[in-house]
This record gives sequence, structure tokens and C-alpha cells, in this order.
Amino acid sequence: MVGDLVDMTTPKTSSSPAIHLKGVTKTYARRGQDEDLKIIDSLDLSFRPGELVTIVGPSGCGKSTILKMIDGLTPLTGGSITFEPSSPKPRIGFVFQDYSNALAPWKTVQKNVEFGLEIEGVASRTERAEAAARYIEMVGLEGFEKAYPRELSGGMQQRVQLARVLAFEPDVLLMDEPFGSLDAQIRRVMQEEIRRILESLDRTVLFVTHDIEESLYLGDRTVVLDHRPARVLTDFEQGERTSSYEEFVASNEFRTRYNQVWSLLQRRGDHA
Amino acid sequence: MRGALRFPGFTAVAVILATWVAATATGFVNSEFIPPPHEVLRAGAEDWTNLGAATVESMWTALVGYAVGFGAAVVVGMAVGRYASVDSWVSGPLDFFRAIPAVAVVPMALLVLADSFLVGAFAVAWGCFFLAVINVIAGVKHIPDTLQDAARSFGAGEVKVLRKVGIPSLLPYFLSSLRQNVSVALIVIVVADMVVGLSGLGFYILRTQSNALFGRMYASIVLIAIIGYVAFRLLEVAQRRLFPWWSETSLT
Repeated sequence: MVGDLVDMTTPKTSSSPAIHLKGVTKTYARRGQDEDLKIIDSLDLSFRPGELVTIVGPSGCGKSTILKMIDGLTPLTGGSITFEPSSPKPRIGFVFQDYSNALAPWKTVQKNVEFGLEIEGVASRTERAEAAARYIEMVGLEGFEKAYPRELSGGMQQRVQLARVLAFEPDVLLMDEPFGSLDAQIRRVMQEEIRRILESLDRTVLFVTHDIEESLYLGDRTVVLDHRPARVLTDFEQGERTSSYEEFVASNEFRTRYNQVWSLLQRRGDHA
Repeated sequence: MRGALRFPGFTAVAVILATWVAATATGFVNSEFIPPPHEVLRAGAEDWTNLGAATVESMWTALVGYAVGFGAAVVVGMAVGRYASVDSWVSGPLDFFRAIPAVAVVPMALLVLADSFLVGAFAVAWGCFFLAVINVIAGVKHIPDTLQDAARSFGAGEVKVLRKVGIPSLLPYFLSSLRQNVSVALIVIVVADMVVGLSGLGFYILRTQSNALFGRMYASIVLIAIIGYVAFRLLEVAQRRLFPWWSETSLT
């Protein structure tokens, strides 16, 4: 199994749980057809505490579905997903690609950031407001607390969503192509910021993307998935990175990895 | 002049009144059929007890129908928007019955219900229901699904998802329906009064017209316009105050 290349025994200090996917299968019934559509077929994957893993694969390969199953938003057809330790139940924060539909249009930036705490039932207004203020500052939205989402650009809306999830203080952060709908320049800025924020967090982060460059730049470890049904094509760790984005994408290491991933995805189909 | 231009709405009303006065004063229109504004005002004040009673009766009937129609639209609209099975059963009949103008059901209602209050309220409810139900269905379909997933991700159960995401995003659609239905309710109640022919503002218009009491007739018409205008503006202000984030364009 390619997934076994990653050493699962290395201890890492983090309050985050490890996540184990065993034989995870997902099928969808197709209207008017006897055979169900198999999106994910018996997938085994493990994530260590505090690991920043990027998951890259062609569009429609089921990578978003994997995140939704981990968060319990979509049921599994087969297999299991377990957390280690299993109790207390880990707090999971989910950042959706579709930021304009993920925010409450009737709430100000401030109230949107408090949303997770409000759902959780944090009664104290001051406690919620303090948490919100801290993360609004972290994502660089000071001064926009009273604005409504529709008054903000796409990049800013995605920052609101990020602050909302961070204010929830999750043990595990799931990010589903968070920058997929942003234009290239904003995406670069956001990539830079997310690196800064995630490095300071020390949480298990699963970051799904179809952008190979993004997956290599952001991930400590990168999992490459095949098109339907999703299987692991390769799974590798990259060393500690100190270089800037410009240095990184000019490096031989990056080129080798990029070409490796690209040829794997290409060879596997006409989908990538 | 500058001050007047700052309120173009008031200026326009003043222009209309002035034209009305001028047209009657110059004899451009027959002031017997179209009396000048002050005559209309005087005629209305003169018959205030009858006009007032007719207004209270019609408005009460209309308000009951308006509320019942809207309430039914919320229940049916939410069920249709939320459950595909309900949708498949109900949307066909809904489209069919919607094609029937509310005023066309008045004669039938009169046969079955035989009571001026019930007939009026039923017809208004009918008209309000079909307009509101479309808004409510659209509202349910516009509840942001990713936000519902976000609420679930933060640990919300289905009741909490409805309370924290569903209802707040529906409220502006409700208020839009209420606003649009003001004119529906007024049209239908006046026609219902006319068809039933016993009481109310519609009947008042018919009776004063046939008795050549044109001042009173215009007084009642202007009164309806004022009531409609005030109700519409109040709901508009409420919508702006309560939902400053909302824009009608987000309907599309």
C-alpha cells in the first residue's frame, strides 16, 4: 500500500487527534441505472496529529466527499472513520469552497464569525465577541466587523469563513478547496496567509485542492488521489520548508515533485 | 423650490392635486362628475359615519383574509420547498388553481358560504395565498445549503438548523409577500363587496355612484388609496429596518 510509506509511529505533540480511514467506500445511486456510481473504493488513509496534509486530485474524484464524511456531513457507504483518541469527540472546523453560500447574509462579519460559538451555545456575549475579535484580527479584517458579507469581495468573504472556523477552535481543520473560487492574485495572498496561520496553530489540517502547485506549497505531506473511484496514487512528505514561494516554485525539488504528480494524474485518465 | 425638489413624491402629489383643481375650476371637466378636491373632502366628512363603518368592515375582513392566506402559504410553501414528495403532489394543483383570479371565486364563495364576511375573507385569503406561496417556496429554495452544512458541522441538529439558518433567511421573503399582498387584498375586498352587494367599501362605491353622490364616491376611493399607501410604506420601512442586508435583487 502506498499509504504505508508514511511512518505512522512518529510522535508529534498536538492536542489534535489522529484520523484513520479504513476501507472507506462511497457510492451514489444513479437514477434509472442498476449499478451505483462508486466514488470512493475501499480507501485506507491515516493522518497524524498536527499534520498539515494536502489532498490533490482531479475534479470530481471524491476528495470533497472524504472531508464531508470525516465531518459526518455525508454518511459512509462502507468502512470506518475513527479518531484517536476517540474521546473527547474532536472539534472539527470545515471551510467550504462556496464562501458566498457558507456565510449568513443577514449577519455582520462579527456575527458571522461568532456563528460557530452561537450554535455551540456559548451564552456569554462578551466571550463570543472576544473570540471573534481575536480571529477577525488574525485574518486581517479589522474595521469590517459591522459590514455584511455582500459588501465584501470574495477573498474577504473567505477570510470571514476562516475566522469563523478558527473562532470555534477546532482540533481538526478541514479545508475544501478554500481558494478554488478566488482569482489568481487573491489566491496567492491567501495561500501566504493560510501558511502563516496554520503554522501557528499546530492542528491536524486536511486541505483539499485540485491545484498541484498549491498542494505542494502548502502541504507538509501530500496525498495524490486517482479519479473515480478515489484511490491513493502516491503519498509523500516534504521536508521542513523555509524558502519563500518564489524560491520554492523555482527549486528542483518542486519541479521533480510537480512532474511526478502531474504524470501520475495524466497517466490515470483524461480527467485531470 | 429646492426644498420641494428634495421630496419629489410630495411635489408630484401637489402637481396632481393642482391639475385636478385647475381642471374643475376651468370647466375642462364636468365638476358634477368630477368634483374638486375640497368638495370630495367635504362630502366624505359629511357622510363620515357610513364611510367609516364601511371602511372598518372591509378592512377587518381583508385583514383576516390576508392573515389566513399568508399563514396557509407559509405552511404549504415550506412543505413544498422542503420535501420533494410534497412538491410532486402539490405543485400541479397549485399551478392550476393559481390561474383562477381571486375575484372569480367570489360568486362561487357566495353560493357556498352565504355570509359577506366569510366570502370576503375567503376571496382575499385565496388571492394572498397564491402570491405568497410562490415567495415562500422561492425562500425555502434560497436557504443557503452550505450554511446549513456549516451549522451541522458546528454541531447543530435539524431543529437548530431551521431556527438558526432556515427561519432567519426566510423572514425577508415573508415580508416581501406581505408587502406585495397589500394591493391584492384591497383589490379583492372591494370586488367582493361589490359582488355580495350588502356592505363594505366596494358596496359604498357602487351605491354612491348609482345615487349620483359622486363626492362621496371619490372620497371612498381616495380613502382606499391612502390606506393602501400607508400599509405599503409601513411594511417597506419595516423591511429596510429589519433586514438592512436584504436586496430584492437577491431574489433572482
